[in-house]
Amino acid sequence: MGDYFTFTRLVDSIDTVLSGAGATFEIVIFSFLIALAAGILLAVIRIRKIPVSAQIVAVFNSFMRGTPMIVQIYLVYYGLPFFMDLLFGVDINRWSKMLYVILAIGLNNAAFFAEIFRSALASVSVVQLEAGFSIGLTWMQAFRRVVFPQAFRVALPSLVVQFISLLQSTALAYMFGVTDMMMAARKYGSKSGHSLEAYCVVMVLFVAICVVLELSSRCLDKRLNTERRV
Amino acid sequence: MVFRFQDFLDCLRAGALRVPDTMYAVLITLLLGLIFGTLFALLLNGEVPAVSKVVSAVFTVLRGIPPTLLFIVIRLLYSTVFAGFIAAHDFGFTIRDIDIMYVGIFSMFVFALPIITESVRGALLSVTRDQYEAGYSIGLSPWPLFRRVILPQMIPAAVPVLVNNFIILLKTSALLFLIGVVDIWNGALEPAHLTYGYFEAYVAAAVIYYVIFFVAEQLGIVLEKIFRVEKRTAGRKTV
Repeated sequence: MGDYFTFTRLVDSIDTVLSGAGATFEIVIFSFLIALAAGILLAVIRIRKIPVSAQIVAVFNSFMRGTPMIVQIYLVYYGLPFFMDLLFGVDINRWSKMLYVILAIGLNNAAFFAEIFRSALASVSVVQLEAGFSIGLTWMQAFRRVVFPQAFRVALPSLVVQFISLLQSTALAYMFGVTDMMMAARKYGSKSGHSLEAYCVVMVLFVAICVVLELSSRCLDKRLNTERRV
Repeated sequence: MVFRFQDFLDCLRAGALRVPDTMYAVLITLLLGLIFGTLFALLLNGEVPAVSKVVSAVFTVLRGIPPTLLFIVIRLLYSTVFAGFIAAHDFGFTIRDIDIMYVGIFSMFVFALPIITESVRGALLSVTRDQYEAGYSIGLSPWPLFRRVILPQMIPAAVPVLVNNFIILLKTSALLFLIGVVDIWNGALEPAHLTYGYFEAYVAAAVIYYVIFFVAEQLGIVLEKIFRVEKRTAGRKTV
């Protein structure tokens, strides 16, 4: 391959790339938490069939699942200041770019999580809910203590798959000036004139994390679901 | 800030012009992916001694790479290694004569292959063993067995997942700008470079993608209805 790829540069770029890993980790964690919380909320709104909200959520989910991630980040990036100014007269142009990315990725995955939870909740027999009512629990209590834990087990494999997708969509953050792993790789590339090695390091990191996630998902799935054969 | 409707319409038109090219790229990728995906699915399900494990490992690695990174790396390799290769040998054309769309389709194909293989595997596994045994019992050899017995039963199972894969490919096609291909996303942004109406461009792009997604989803539902096979029970008197 001639001068295109050398192992010395590969090892050399590891430092630079790892400096961006912190930001990547931040983006992943915060967007995951937002997506999880919002996803459960949206799923509940849909299964409770709350009059206006359920339809809005349905359209929101459809839109989030049907448009590319990059379009959504740009929409949030340009659209949020616009709407904040329009509705509240607040100027948020000083907010850090990472916030927009986290928000956009969080909202996008919230829609996916909502659909996953919706089908998982539907798979839990209504008998469980009725059993909860029969001992005097309110809907909220029965949901929290009886239905949701069972639904969560069913949802776990799909949640992990979606989490992997979330992780991969954070690779787009560098386009907004966020100094994550991709941006660090580019920095190394522009400094040394060779970006291939740095990108390889990033690839290895992504693959390693994804493989670990897939394997642990399989383990978890086996552990959580083997005793439940009725 | 105001929403300039005229700019929005210009971007909508500019983006819509790119839809045929993008659709062409996505559908070719899907087709190639289906052909190779079926082959790999058969390979993985057939559990050929060493090869299956290697292919499985390669696919796991490929699945872990974000499409953004994959496209950037392929573009990089193309413009360095491949360009060097072309320049070093006298083929009668230069690197600039090759349509970048081929690189785009190749990149999407590399991204899509593990995903489509997984979908086809799932559909393949849904056809039970007794079908194979029935075929062998009347003397069918592997290829006619596959063509006449397995494949027709695989298709109804594969349709919903493949529609989903099409949607994933459609969304990934937005990243083709990293390779230098002008797709819907790029196309919708073109007028914005002149008017600076970027927000209107993003909304226009989102609208175009959403419309295609919606049509694809509805098409999927229709296809599912067409391909739905009624379960046959043992209570039938004749075939």
